Amino acid sequence: MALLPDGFADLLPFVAQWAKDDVQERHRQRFAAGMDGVQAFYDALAPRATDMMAYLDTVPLDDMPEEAANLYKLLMALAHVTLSVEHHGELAPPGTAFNPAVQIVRGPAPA
Amino acid sequence: MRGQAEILPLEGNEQPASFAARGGMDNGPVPLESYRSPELFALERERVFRRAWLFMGRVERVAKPGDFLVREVEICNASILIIRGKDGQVRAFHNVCPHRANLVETRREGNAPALVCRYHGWSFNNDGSLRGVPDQEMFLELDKSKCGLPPVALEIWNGWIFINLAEKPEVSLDEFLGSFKDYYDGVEAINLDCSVVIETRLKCNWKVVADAFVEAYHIPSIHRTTIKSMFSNRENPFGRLLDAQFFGPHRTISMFGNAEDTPREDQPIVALARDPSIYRPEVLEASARYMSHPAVNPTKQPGWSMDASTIFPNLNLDAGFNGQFTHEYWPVSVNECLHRATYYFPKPTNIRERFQLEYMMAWFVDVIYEDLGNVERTQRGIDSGATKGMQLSESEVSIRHSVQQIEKWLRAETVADALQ
Ligand code: FES
Ligand SMILES: [Fe+2]
Repeated sequence: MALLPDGFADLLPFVAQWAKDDVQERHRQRFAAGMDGVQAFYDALAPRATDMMAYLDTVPLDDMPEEAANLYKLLMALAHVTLSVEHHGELAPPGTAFNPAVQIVRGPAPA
Repeated sequence: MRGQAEILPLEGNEQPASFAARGGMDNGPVPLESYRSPELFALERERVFRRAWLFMGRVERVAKPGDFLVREVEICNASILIIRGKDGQVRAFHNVCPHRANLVETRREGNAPALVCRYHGWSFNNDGSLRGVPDQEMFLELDKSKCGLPPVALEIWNGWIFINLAEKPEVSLDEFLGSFKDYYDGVEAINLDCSVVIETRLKCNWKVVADAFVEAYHIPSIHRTTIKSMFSNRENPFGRLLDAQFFGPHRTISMFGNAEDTPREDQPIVALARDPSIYRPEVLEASARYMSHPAVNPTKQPGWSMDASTIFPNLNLDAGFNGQFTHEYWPVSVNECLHRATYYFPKPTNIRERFQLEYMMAWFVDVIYEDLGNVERTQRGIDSGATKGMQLSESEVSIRHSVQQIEKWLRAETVADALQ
C-alpha cells in the first residue's frame, strides 16, 4: 500500500522520520532533527499545507485510511517546526534548549 | 488611555494611590524567606496545604459513573482519588487500601466499575465502599462497613472540583472562596470538551513558578518571539496591568493586550493556523457570551489579553479570548515542585481546527519553555541568601499579595483568622 495519497510523492522522504503518533513525539522529533532538519522539512511542507488540508478534508478525521493518516501526521508536524522557523528563527525559544522535563501528558483526540 | 496602569476608583472609597494600596499593601521589599526556609515549608504543609481547599480538576474529566482521576498532593504525602459513583455523585478518597495501606489505583485516570487493590485483591465500589475481601472468614473481627476507602472532603464550584485534606474542614468551599466567588460566579466554562495537559517537574519552590505566571513585566524580555507582540505595544511596551483586585486570599489581575497583533508576512503557516475564519459560529457565540461576564476583561477594553485569577494557594484560573485555562503549582519539597498547565479546546471537527489546535499546543509548550527557563536559576539565587527580599513593581502586585497571604496563613491559628 502507498505511504501517502496520490499527488504527495514529493513528501515521501519525510514519512519515516516525521510521521509521529502524538504531540509529545512530534515535539521530540522537532528537537531531534536540529535546525537544518527542521528547515528542510518546513521548506518542503509549507508550500503544500493548503493542498494537504484540501485532501484531508475529504477523509473522516476520526477514521483515516493509513496513507491519509501519514499525510495528517506530516501536517501536524508542520505545526511544530513552524515555531522554530516562523517564530524563533532558531530551533528552540531564545535562551532555552530541549527540555525533557516538559511532558505533554494528555493531548487532543484524534492524536 | 489604553494600556496605562490607571487606577479605577472603587465604589464608596477614596481612590487608592496604587494597586498595592488597593490591596492594603505597602510598596516596600517583600521577604524571600518562605521561598527557601525548610521550617516555613513545613509550616506551609500544615497551615496552607492541609487547611485550604485545593483544586483537583474539572467535572468533565469524571463525566460518567466510574470515571476517576488520581492526583498526588506530594507535600502532604497524599494520593487522592476523585471518582464518580454509580449514583452520579463525585467523591474524593485517599487512594489507600484499608487492608495494609497499599495504593489502590495505579492509573492517573480512567474508568472503573470497581477498584481492586493489587496486593491481596480487596475490591471497592465506585462510591468508595468495600465490596469484597478474598478469604474473608480468616478476618475474625472485620467490620466491613468501616473498611471503605478513607473519605476526603470534596466540593464543586461551577464545575471546578476542590478537596480539603483537613479531617473536618474549618470552612466550606463557599466561605473559603468568599467575595471571589461573588465576583466570578457565572463565568461560563466554554470549550471544555478537549483538554490538554502539560506537566513539568522543577527544582524550585512552587511559588517561584507561580510568580512567573502572574505578571506581564517579563514578557518583552523572555517571550520576544512568541507572545511579546500580543501583550505589549508601543504605547504600553512593558505590558502594564489594566486592573488588579483582591478578594481575601484570592486575587485577579487583568493584562493588557495589543488589539492590532496579527501574523507577519513571513509567518504564512502561523497565519494559516490562526485564521479567524476557522472558528465555527457556535464557538464564537459561546465565546461572546463568556466575554460579556463582568469578571472577564473587567475593564472591558479592546486592548486586553487575559486575566490571571489566583485562587489561593496554588491555582491560576485564567481567562483568555478562547475560554479558561489553569496553572497549578504543587510543592514537593522546599525547592522542588510540579507545574501543571491545562488548556481547553472545542473538539476539532475538521482538519483546519485540528491543525490550529496542534499549532496552539506547540506554541503553548514553547511559551512554557520560556516561562520555566529562569525558575531554577532564580531558586539558586534565592538559596544563596544574597538578597533578603524582592523589589516588586506595581505590575507585580499579584506576587506581593501572594507573599502577604502566605505569611498570614502561616501566622493564623484558625482558617477564620486567615480569611479575615
Ligand atoms: S493492601 Fe490492599 S488488599 Fe492488601
Ligand atoms: Fe510568561
